[in-house]
Amino acid sequence: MDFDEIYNTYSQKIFRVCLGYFNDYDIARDMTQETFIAVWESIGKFEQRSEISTWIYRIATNKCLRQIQKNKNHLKTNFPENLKQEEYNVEKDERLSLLQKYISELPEIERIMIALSLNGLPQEEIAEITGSSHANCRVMLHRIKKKLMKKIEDDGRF
Amino acid sequence: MDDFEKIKDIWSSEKSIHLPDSEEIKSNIQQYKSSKRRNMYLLAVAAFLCLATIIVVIISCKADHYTKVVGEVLIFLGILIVLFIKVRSLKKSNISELTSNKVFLDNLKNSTLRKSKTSALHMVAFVLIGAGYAFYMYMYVLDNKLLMIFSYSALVIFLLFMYFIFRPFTERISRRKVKRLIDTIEGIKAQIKK
Repeated sequence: MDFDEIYNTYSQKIFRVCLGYFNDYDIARDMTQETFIAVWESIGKFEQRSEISTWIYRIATNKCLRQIQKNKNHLKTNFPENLKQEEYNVEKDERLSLLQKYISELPEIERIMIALSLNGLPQEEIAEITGSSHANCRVMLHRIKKKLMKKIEDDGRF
Repeated sequence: MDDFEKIKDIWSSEKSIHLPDSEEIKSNIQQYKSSKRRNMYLLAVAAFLCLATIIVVIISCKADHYTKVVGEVLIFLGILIVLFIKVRSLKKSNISELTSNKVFLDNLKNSTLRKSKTSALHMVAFVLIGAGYAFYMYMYVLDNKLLMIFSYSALVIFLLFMYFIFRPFTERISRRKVKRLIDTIEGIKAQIKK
């Protein structure tokens, strides 16, 4: 897989994970860009012991976690900027913005896990990315999904 | 809505993400790499010029008194230690992001703890530069007792202020920052264990 192919396959997915984590369009965009700079620089170190997606998601999620060194209070609880300005399909956009807002309100690892799960990653891969055991990951994901669904139900706007 | 699959659909429905294309990313990478290389060259040139200037000053300025040479050497050593601390801190911030989140957080914690322990070396540099300056100025104030008393008193007051007021103050701030970061890291790690 060359860089163009990797970028075209994963950039949108990585962006979604970062947006779920930060709930900020600009930071998510920067994080996505930084992730692919790191991918470009480290592509020679990829040993094909795991899936390339695992490898890329690890870089992206660690980049998100590294932000705690810079500023812990980046979390926004309002709608992601720019996204709310999109005019078409307002209802769907609002639901998406709400979903991103709810996810960004979760604790850090839960944000990462649920975003990876929503991106369609299997539990084994999520466990490999976060470093938890598979059993632990399964239990956690179940709990996070329940928590997210409760937030959605309580809001009533969904 | 109680179906997680429907949430997945909403999550994937985002079509308005305007990310740069791969060519733009590659050009950004090239710019980033060349600016990184340029910064490294500039840092190397600046360090070389700094060292060369100090060496030229030591060699060319005729030392009338051995204390001046001792002073210059001590200041030189102090500056070298400061440079060493700086280079080491830059190197240690390079934690691998290719590991799992759990290992990454462990490495981030260790790196933070290591960085907080460099204050002992800072103190050595501080003592060397202070002592170096005391030696260096000796020959200039030797003939004027009043000036000597005034200069050394000022130096001692400055060093005492730095040691007893400024150092504890900066250490307290640094410790607080480190503690906050370590607590945050531990908190996130605990989420993985839960």
